[in-house]
Amino acid sequence: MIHDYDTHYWLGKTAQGWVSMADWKSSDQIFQDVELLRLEPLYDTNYQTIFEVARPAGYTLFFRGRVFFDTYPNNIIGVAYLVGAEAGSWTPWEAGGFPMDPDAWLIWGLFADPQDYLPVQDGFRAILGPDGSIDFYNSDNWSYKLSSEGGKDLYKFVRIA
Amino acid sequence: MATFQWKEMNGPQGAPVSSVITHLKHKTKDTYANNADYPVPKPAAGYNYGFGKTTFLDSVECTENFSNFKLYGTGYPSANPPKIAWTGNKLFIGDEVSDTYDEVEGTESETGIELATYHSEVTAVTDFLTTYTSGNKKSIGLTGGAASKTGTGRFTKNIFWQHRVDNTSGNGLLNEASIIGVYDLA
Repeated sequence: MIHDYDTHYWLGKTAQGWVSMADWKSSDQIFQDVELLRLEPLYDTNYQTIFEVARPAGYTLFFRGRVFFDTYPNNIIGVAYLVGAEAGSWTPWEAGGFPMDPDAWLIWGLFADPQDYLPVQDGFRAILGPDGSIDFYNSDNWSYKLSSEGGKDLYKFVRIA
Repeated sequence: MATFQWKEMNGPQGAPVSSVITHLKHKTKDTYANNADYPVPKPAAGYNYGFGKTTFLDSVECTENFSNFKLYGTGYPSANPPKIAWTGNKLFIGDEVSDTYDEVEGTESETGIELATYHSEVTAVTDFLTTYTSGNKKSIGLTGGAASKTGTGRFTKNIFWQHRVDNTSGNGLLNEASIIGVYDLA
């Protein structure tokens, strides 16, 4: 779901073709079929940053949009995006949830309060902040490569063998 | 899509009324009205309090998974004439959030009763605008203790607020402070 305030959107390559945030939520089951996940800017006026990760076998991909709003009078003032991967599959906290549904999890990276969240154990979290800043948290076996794609900064997150 | 609104609860125990608000207006009366009536008077000594406020985040529409709700402030604002600075004024938030509504108590046009005194589940309060910042946000639980929510209606537990004035305060309308909310969508 792309919102009026969004600056970026995700798109993912599955065996059946490309899917994107325009038609799907990251909490939809199809997101679990994504093999290549990208976060791309919606407009030329947004921060020209791309995130990309190819999902290794045995890993789960995550995506979150984080909305900042001034409560009175309820204006959206910024949005951040998180892309992450973690080894294994994740069952929601509520018993009886869907296997392989990571979206009930509060994933670490957006807050410096890891005890409450799914920590980085074997994977990474990459955050594009509302001000264009980039934060990267990773286990030792994950890194990233920075290159250029059409004038945009492309961050490819990769698992190191 | 996701659209939210703030609501304030007012009225008697057992039959409160929830109203959409655009400002958290502190008064010596149990009302959400955004006007200058029932201001909190500056005391000769000690403190006067606004009546406690009970608010929550309400979903108009949310088709995605909502989680991880937090609040923080941007500090006490300086003067913006004719509005005055917050010298001698504090905004407190209840340390606990709750599904329970307790009717506020106080004497109209004089002072409210302290939040931790009248509310059965609030044991202490914290100076919100000093303590909670972008680097130290306050977590707000969701109704029923859920980790995530979707759909419409009340999403968060009740959040409690109170304004306190001492005798160093200026006279006039305070410059507006900002309360920033943050949530995740998946």
